[in-house]
Amino acid sequence: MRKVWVIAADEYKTNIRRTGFIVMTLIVPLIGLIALLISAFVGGKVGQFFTDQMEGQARPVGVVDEYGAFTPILADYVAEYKAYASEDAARVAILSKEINTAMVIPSDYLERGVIRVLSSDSTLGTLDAVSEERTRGFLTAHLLRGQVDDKLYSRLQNPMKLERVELSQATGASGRAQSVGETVSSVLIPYFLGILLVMSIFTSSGYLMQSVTEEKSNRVIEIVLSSVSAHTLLAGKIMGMGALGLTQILVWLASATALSLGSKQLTGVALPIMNQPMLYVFIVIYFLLGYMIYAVLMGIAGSLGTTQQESQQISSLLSLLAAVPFFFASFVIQNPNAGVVRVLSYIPFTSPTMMLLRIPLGQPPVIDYVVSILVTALCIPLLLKAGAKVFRMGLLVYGKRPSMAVIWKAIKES
Amino acid sequence: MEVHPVTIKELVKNYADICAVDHLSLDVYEGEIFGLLGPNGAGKTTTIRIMMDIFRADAGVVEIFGKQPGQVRELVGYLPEERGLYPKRKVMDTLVYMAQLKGVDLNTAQASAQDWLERTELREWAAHRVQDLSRGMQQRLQFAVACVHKPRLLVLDEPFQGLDPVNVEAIRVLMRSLRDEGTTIVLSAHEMNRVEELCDRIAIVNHGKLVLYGNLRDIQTRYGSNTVRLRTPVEIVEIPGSALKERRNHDWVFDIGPHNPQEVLHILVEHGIPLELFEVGTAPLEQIFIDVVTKGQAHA
Repeated sequence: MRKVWVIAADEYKTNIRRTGFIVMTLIVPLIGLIALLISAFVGGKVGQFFTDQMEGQARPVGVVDEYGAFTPILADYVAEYKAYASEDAARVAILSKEINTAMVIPSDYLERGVIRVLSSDSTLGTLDAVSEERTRGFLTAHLLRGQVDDKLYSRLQNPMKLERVELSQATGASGRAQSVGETVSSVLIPYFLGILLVMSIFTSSGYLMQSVTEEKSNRVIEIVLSSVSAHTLLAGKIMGMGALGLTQILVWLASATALSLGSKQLTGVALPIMNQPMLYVFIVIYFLLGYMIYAVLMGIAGSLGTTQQESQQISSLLSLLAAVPFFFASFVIQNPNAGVVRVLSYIPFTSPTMMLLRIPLGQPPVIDYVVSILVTALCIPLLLKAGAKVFRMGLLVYGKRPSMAVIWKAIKES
Repeated sequence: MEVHPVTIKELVKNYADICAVDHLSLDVYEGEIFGLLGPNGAGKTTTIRIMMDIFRADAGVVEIFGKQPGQVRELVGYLPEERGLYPKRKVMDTLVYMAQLKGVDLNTAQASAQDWLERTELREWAAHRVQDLSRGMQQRLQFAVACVHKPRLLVLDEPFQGLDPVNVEAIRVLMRSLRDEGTTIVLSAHEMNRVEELCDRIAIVNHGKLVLYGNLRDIQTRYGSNTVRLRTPVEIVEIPGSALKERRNHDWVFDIGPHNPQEVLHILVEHGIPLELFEVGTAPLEQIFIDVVTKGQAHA
């Protein structure tokens, strides 16, 4: 065990100084910090730009009422709509930038329901100015003027306020549903965090593969194997690189906490991930499981390749396994508990990445946590045992890649 | 039963259809320098790798100090034929790390590394990267790596390969000093003059089989064409059963035929012949090696 620690410490010390690792570890919090600063200090101007785009710089919409029911404009709409006597007058107003958009409501509107829209451009603001929802409110209010009582008029204007209640699958207890904004942010941020975690798994296990390939190409592997068993060597490397990956994740989580506190101070809003402490626990669990699986596979890839390039080719094939859940990402987002999604959560090679995707999207059934963790955890020692055999066999083969028959023989011997 | 540093019994190792080691048996004794010799592809490196627990044997027994090779890694130092170090690592760090891999604690490893930097004359290079060293210096460092954990058994596979005479001499001196300190050494080399100079016993393998094995001097004597060399100031008329082969001033070489050199010595003493030198004739190891390998003259 002492030798495992020696190897782990050596791998950690060697790789934590790599420029690529430092850049990748620091760039994530840096991007977060820049985003926070922009939202805090420049956000006002940027927001104004988007508001202008959305609202067409707050100019009213012209109304040419050939039908006769829409003028005079009701007091509630005077700020947003301005009447023009004719289409020509509205055109002049648009060309003189008095308004951006005008609606021409023809005399046969009631029969045909057609409204012609004149505009100077096609900015988002212009499109929003005559959006169906907004225009429907304006038309309904004017058509119903004097026809119904105030209460009915008010309800027709705003027929519903949706109040969703989510039932917890575990307890059946109900709670307030998230707003759309909250949902988007609470899904997107952990979703991208999931992607980062998978990247971290592959960064760490990729370094492991590189380390093995270098030892093989430097021919130092023979001396190392005369000092420690292939099993000890692989275990030491896995531990060292795992600590490296955990360091990266801890830096990210610490910076996320710091950014959230900063965000609360500057904008009054904490990052939604901060409200999900269990997510931290599962991030660490599934990171470790995923890392262990892929570290063994990458170790084997490193030992089997005769050159670094060849090892990378083998490893890219293995990476495809982990990426399978991402091929289904849009499906997973919409159906986080669908059958195929759950099956992929039970397969050790896809389980960690799939669960890292699913957890932020909702509440996977408890059985999915249990099965995915158990199956993957049980698979690791088996994979490690077989992997160490192939690893040992592959390490000393120079010049040509071992055949599948030779690899299979090594696995059977384990 | 006596426990030897190395005991090999009926060792077999096959690669696909090729038998690399074919029922090889030998012992290496405590404190000796043992030469494991043979032509390229004879199975020497395979045997060594099995001794190092890098390869597994297909059949037979290999014991290092009476235990399986993987159980006594700490007692063995290894200089492989395929040289290699971490090129970007510093010289001192390399030695400390390799000692730690052999189970030595950090403080002892650092002290031993300093000692071996001195012995290999690399002290000034301690803070340099391995890639900055010359080939000879890298070879000396590699030798230090094999010894830094103070092994009881040192296995050297082609330690003189590609070295200039100065570095060959440096390695030779280090080997002698290690043997004097009690380290058992297994040496695989093609430089027969060096083997002749250093080894106590040898084994020659060919096509995976043991073809010659034993004490080097005995083997050389056995291959020495049954001659004796003697120096005397008097004239020798005849030695019964022996024929004069060569004479130069006071030096005489006799072919003693089937007789034992001791018998010849006894006759000379009986006849009162004053002897300044009496030497049993030996054959050069290189010639023995060539004979054994090419002509199949095995005397195992």
